Amino acid sequence: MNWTQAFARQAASDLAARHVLAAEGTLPSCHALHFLQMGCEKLCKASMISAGRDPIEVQRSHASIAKHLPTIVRVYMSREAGRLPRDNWMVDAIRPLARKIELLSPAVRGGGRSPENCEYPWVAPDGSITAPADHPFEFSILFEKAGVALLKIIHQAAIDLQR
Amino acid sequence: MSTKDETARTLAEAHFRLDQGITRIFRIIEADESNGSRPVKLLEVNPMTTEVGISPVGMTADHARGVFHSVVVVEITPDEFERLQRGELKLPADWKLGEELFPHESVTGMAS
Repeated sequence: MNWTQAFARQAASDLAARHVLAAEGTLPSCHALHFLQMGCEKLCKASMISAGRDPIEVQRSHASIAKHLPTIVRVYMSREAGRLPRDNWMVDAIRPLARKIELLSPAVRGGGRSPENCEYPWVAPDGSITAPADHPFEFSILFEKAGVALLKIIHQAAIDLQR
Repeated sequence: MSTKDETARTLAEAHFRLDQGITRIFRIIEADESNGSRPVKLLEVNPMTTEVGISPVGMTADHARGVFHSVVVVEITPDEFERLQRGELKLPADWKLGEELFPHESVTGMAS
């Protein structure tokens, strides 16, 4: 197994964990969102390493989901059976969706405007301290435009990058 | 089996069609470009992308689905493209900017 395959393997596992957690109705939504964010970040890192980046450097850095995920989706869609897809609305929809997923990470704070994240507690604008487990995230990938398509594509991309 | 040139043109056509934010696409070439096992590389200029410099992403070949070459895409903003042309940004390794690929007329028509 090389570094690309290893990152893709872990991305696929994170996404599988997201699926299990999302189906478990008794758990707070932050857990499924956390694995979605981590799976997307590892998929981006697998793709960056596949393109020739130093795996150690990539491992230490923060991968920009907002930048790389739309590109991965576009590459993936364009190569499907060599057809020329006409669903350009999907790429348009995935760009803001990728930004929403990126903002779930505590390392990305949206210029200070988005302290909410799915991993660590934060101080709200009114001074109160909030745990992700208690936060009603107004974000469900399955109800976002192109969300289901994105899930299918990133899952398949994580499998393909393991080859 | 498609050649690398054919794959690059097909990908560029599809990317122009899929993402109407893309304004220009170039091949990226390397010294060993004629080697079919090396990836097809595209540089795409898109004002919609975020500025993080030169950050390539790749996808493996998939012979079972008729994809015979791995693909690398570098997406940058118009401002970053100007910086690349001025030499303030560099492509990795021995990569160089190659020919520009243009959308087919029907794609241009769709975008207008």
